Amino acid sequence: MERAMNAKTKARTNPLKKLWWWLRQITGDAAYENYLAHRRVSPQEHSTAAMTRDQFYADSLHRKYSTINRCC
Amino acid sequence: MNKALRAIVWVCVSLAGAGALAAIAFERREPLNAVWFVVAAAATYAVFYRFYSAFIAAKVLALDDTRATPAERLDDGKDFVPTNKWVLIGHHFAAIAGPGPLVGPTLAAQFGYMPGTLWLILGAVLGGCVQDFTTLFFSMRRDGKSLGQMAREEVGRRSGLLALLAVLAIMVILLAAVALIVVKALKDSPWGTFTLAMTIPIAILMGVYLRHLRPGRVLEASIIGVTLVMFAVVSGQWVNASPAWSQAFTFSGPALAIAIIIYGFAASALPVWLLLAPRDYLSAFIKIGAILALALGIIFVRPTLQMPPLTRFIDGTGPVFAGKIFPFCFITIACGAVSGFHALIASGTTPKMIMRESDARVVGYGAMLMESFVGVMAMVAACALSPGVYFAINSPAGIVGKTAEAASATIRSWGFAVDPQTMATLAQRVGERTLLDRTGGAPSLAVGMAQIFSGTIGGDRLLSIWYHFAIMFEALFILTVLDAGTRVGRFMVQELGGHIWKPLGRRGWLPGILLSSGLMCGAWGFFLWQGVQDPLGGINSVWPLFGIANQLLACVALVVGTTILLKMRRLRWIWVTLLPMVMLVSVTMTASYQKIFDASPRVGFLSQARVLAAQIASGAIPPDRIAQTQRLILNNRLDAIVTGVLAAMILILIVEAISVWARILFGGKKPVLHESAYIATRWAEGD
Repeated sequence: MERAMNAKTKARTNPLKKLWWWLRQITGDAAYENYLAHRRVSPQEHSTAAMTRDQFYADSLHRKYSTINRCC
Repeated sequence: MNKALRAIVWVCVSLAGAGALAAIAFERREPLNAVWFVVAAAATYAVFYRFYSAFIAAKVLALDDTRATPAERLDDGKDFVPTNKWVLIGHHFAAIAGPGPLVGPTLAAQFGYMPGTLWLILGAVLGGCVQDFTTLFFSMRRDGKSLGQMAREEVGRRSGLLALLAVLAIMVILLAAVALIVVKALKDSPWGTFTLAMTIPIAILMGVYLRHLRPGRVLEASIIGVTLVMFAVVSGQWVNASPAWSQAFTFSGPALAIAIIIYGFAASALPVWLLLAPRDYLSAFIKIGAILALALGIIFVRPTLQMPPLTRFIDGTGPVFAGKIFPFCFITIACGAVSGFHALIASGTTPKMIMRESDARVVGYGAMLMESFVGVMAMVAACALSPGVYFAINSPAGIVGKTAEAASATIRSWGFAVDPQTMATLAQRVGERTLLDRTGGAPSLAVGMAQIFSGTIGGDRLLSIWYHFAIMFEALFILTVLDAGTRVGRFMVQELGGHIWKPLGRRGWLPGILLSSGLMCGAWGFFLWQGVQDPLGGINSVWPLFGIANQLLACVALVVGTTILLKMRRLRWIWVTLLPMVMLVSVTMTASYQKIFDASPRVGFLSQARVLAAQIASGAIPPDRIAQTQRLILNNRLDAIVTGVLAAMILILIVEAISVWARILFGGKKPVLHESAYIATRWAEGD
């Protein structure tokens, strides 16, 4: 829920910041921060330590390219 | 805005759209400006989005924002991530936008601008967008299940298996078709080949940066990569100018085909962070940038379309590809109007990221509208060329003749003005040795785009740079599709192989990786090699196969959608998915039948094989070409079998679907809907 709120408040800031936020979200540049935010919001769901940025990147690539993610 | 004013605005938008569509649809004496196409597309999209997609959302699917989406219920911060709809539409569009909507309309321009443009716009709003939107919704209601899983659960086991086989078939044929386009675009083009070759070390550099220096900093790495690629495009002219360097980067079609097969094998077997992922980031950036630039360029330059609304080739004798307007215009355009492949993305990552149900409308229906607009722009770019030039670039030497003089004479005999000098000058202006016999659509699209871009920035001085930018843009993301597709195909082969011998199913086992990558590359490499060797240009046989396979997958998605609507007791609305399904089934079945049995050797695979066999028997083929001709005969027979299998798959699917529908409607038993249970959202309205 916090992340949904986050998305909303971010969208209310000035247009340049909004564009920058959108660009980081859309390219996956902010994926690690989103992951950490998710862990902060629901710590009870996680029994293991958070992945490092490096581990998270490797893990996300593995998930992304194991399924059809590009089209004709 | 009050109600009356809103109504007036929508009436005006509808009239503008209808007027512009009518201008495109009716024969005219004076050439039409591209503005009509932009208005026709934008107004039709706006009206259908506002009213038709709203009707589907409210009545047909009954989207429910009080229901928690999988992204909310299963949020794991990795796969299931609630995502802002404007971010998600970007993700989804980047995933669905491929080379298809650029190449298909360019090829279909041989019929004139009218049929292709009308199908691109109307096919999308009534078919493609509906397929994407409904599939996304149904998958979202099933925790993001894939199309294959939904087909198995909702229709039957046979349909589930058919969906899987259709996916594998379409992947193999798609990869061969797009690889062939790259080969045709880079053949004897040192500038283009150098630029594309340079993207490999640039991607590896980005890969190392992203993995080891600044993990996950995608924007930084992409900016570095895009800058280097732009430099590679510009520096290609120096390679082209140097005799030694240009010699080193000049390859024939067969040599390029072998290089691409080896590349595809390496890229799918190497660690994904090294080449595949960074190339994907690079290509996504350049793809979105080039599409935006083309849109702005068309609005700024407002080119006049030189192609007539209809050409004589609607009779099926077209040089770009053979076959009548029905069904081949629809089969050729494929992705720009309806793409079955989108159903795989709409039942893949996207449904796991939707924050609320109503977002599925803008993401599913909206992203396909954008894709359709890309197709319309490609049509504008192709038709803005002089028709003589368009046909000179896109017609294979096997049809128009091997020399510039012969090609020009043939094209002039069709009523389109062109002469060898014009083609030689144009080739020189874009930095190529020749533009004749460059089938596949990419070079003519690049010439069209370069004219529009140079009309905006740089004028004639930058024409060659813009041409090679456009070639690089097309080739770059085609190679990304090739990398990613071969890799996913490899996993599918490994999964299937695992049923025969367990170790083959282990994704990390090196012999398994090498074997499955080899099988996948061998499969698409076979069709690619066949296309490169084909004297009729290859596209004539490979692209229709791709179109049929793609539309077959769309039939699967629409059959699944219709079945689920019936189970949801929305009988009165099933025409929403049923009508596009009927259209696609008739298009694919007619195309399959004609590609196998048509009496014209350029259309029917079997008659082509018969003609070649008769030529050998009568001694018309010189002894040194008999082996090659026998291979062509074998290829044609094999293509006929592949088309037959695809058609059989459609028939089995339809028979199974009709029996399931009959049971739902008349069986008396309550149909089982495999939807996830309703759980109320915890998010307040307006979150």
